[in-house]
Amino acid sequence: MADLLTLPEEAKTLTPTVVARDGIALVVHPKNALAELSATQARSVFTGEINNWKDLGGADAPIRIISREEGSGTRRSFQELVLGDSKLSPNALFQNSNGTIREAVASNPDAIGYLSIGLVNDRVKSISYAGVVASNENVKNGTYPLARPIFLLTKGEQSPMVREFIDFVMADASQRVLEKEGLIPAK
Amino acid sequence: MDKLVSRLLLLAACSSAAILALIALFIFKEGVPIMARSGLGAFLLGRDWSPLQGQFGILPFIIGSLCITLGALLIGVPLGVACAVYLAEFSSPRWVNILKPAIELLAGIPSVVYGFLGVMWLAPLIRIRLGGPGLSILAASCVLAIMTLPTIVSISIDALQAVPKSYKQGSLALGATEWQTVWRVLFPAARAGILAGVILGMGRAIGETMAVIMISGNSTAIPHSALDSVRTLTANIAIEMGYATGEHRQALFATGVILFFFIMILNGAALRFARRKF
Repeated sequence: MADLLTLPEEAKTLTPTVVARDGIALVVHPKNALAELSATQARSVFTGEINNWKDLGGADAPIRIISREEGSGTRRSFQELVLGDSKLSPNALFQNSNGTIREAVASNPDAIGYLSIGLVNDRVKSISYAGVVASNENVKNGTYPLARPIFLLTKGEQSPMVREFIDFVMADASQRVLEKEGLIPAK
Repeated sequence: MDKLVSRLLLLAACSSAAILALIALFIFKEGVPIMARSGLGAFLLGRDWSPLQGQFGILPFIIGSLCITLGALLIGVPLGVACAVYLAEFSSPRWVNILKPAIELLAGIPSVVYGFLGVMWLAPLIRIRLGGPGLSILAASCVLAIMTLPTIVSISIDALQAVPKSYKQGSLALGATEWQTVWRVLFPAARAGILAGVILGMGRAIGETMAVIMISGNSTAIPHSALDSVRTLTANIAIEMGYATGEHRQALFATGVILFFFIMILNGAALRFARRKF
């Protein structure tokens, strides 16, 4: 739960330190012609209201939603940012990691899923959301809305060693490493 | 001295039973309160699993587990028993020496490898040839059938070999063909052992987690055909445990309680059949 928009009740006693941010990209199969979804379209697709690619100008094929499992941080953030109060389609398939989501989408031309921007590679195609390309630059300049903070959580008084570790993670050199790995620096 | 050693051995024997008891106790302690709170009926027969909204219905997962296991048996049992009959009755010792270790080796392949093969090869094949999402009951059943083969084959071979040679000789001497001998004499005589093998295979299928997570698609909806995706009881626990807190976590333990009963019933049945002599 280190990557939620809002921390659950159980974590309220813990002290969060934002160490980075992470964008969420919508991804489809590389052969899919779709280039972007508006915020409303994205919500309709993931609630199951739009369930055929032809309604989005694509081929006549059912849309296969691939989602993270209930409880995952990416899932909760996606729920809050894209679905709001609406419910994910009951026909969605589930994978329990970013990597398996990517593989599931890469192996099915009718699939759509979502995963960390840093983990998008050429096996899947990232599509624009609300007219903005999913990229770390756009998260940084505030135009791409699908992003969540990544926390380090500490319990009670921070010991000197813990504080030293957090300082280490927040140092410029470490933040550059995080950026190289696909995350967005906290500063 | 003898007495001391026997005491120590008794202690060792009891410790494994105690571990089982502690595991059961822990699962029940964590899982039963949530079942009581939402009602056993609502928990077992509820169709909606949205743990963050407080909906804990595991009927889709019970159906999922049963469908995948049944499918695995439909494919695995004929294949496994036929294989056992051939190896026990018809093949030359040379072939037995090659085939039996090969089948037993199937049990040594990690389940994640089976799952990987299923995702990369079987699921796309099913999606392209038969339709649906590919990650489905059918895909999972096929893979689980292969995973249960070693259990079914090796226990069935033992059961068939335990049938006294005189039965077969008598049947053949009376003029029965080989097929009639197998079907009417050996099968009835080895029935209990073969059934025990099938039930143990079933236990393996119902308990398998990793491969099933990878190839069943893990949908929370009730399936309408063998091409639909399902989630099993084991998959539900394994997928969501990582991030679950509070009631959600308890509901996963409650899923474990149900699974516990499933396995107890299966093992009980297997023991009963295995004890019965032909």
